[in-house]
Amino acid sequence: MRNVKRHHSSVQTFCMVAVFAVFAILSVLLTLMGARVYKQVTQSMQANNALRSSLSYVANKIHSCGESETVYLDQQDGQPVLTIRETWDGQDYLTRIFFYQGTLREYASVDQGQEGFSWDSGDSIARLQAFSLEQEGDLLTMTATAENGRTLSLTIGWNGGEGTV
Amino acid sequence: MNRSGFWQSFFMEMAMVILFFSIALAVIVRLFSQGAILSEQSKDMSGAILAAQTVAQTLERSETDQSYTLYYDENWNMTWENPYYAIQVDVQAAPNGINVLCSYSIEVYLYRQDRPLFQLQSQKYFRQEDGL
Repeated sequence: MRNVKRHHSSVQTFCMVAVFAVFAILSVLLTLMGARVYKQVTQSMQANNALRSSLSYVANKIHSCGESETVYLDQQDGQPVLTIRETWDGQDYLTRIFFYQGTLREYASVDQGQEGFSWDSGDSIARLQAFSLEQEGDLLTMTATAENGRTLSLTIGWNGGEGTV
Repeated sequence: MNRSGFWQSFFMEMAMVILFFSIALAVIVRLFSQGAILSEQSKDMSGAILAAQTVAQTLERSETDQSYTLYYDENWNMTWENPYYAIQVDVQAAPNGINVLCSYSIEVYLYRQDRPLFQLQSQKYFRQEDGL
């Protein structure tokens, strides 16, 4: 009789431990799955935001240029630099938009020729893997690649002025 | 409390915990899947907006009065085989003898599901002798 009781007790203990183990394993799996989904969603959203904000920002920057401003693709060290030139009180000001070391940047300054420009200057617009500008006739195609490798393009009409590539 | 009573209460507690866990799991998995779906929709929408803008900007500099459809793969590269997205461009020209008002309706949709993603209306006004 005592042996039967002891056997029942062992089975009961085993069942309890098994239930607890299943619960623990499921908890860990849920946590891992949640973390993975959250990471994927966050990365996708960050890439999406970087692509949209960079392309829309540059497009709006070009569209907002008035008649007093000249937009053109310039070359600095063989790399295309989108340049907006405007004149106030006889002084030329340049806004340069360019891609350098994984960041799309904007740098506004008084026109000092080549001396007024350095690649590591300017404010960061978005973190990207690549960003390119290509002019075809009166259309400018911008292609941005996010850090997760996703690529999107936007083509806008423009009347690119002097110094065009 | 004797040994049997301890295990009974432990079993009851675990049963309640697992029940609560199951309910929480159902809700959380649903939230995760909904988040992933929304993220995917947001990705589709971003691409659709940029593609529609591109078509509108290209139309502004073209001279066409023909409706047409463009097909794209999942990465928004133009394709004819197994398209994932499509853009339907409907053109309505209203000439009045001297000038023409062209109205463009650009609709981006998921080709396989035939689900609209984004629609853009655009108009172009020009002298009839300049185009068409």
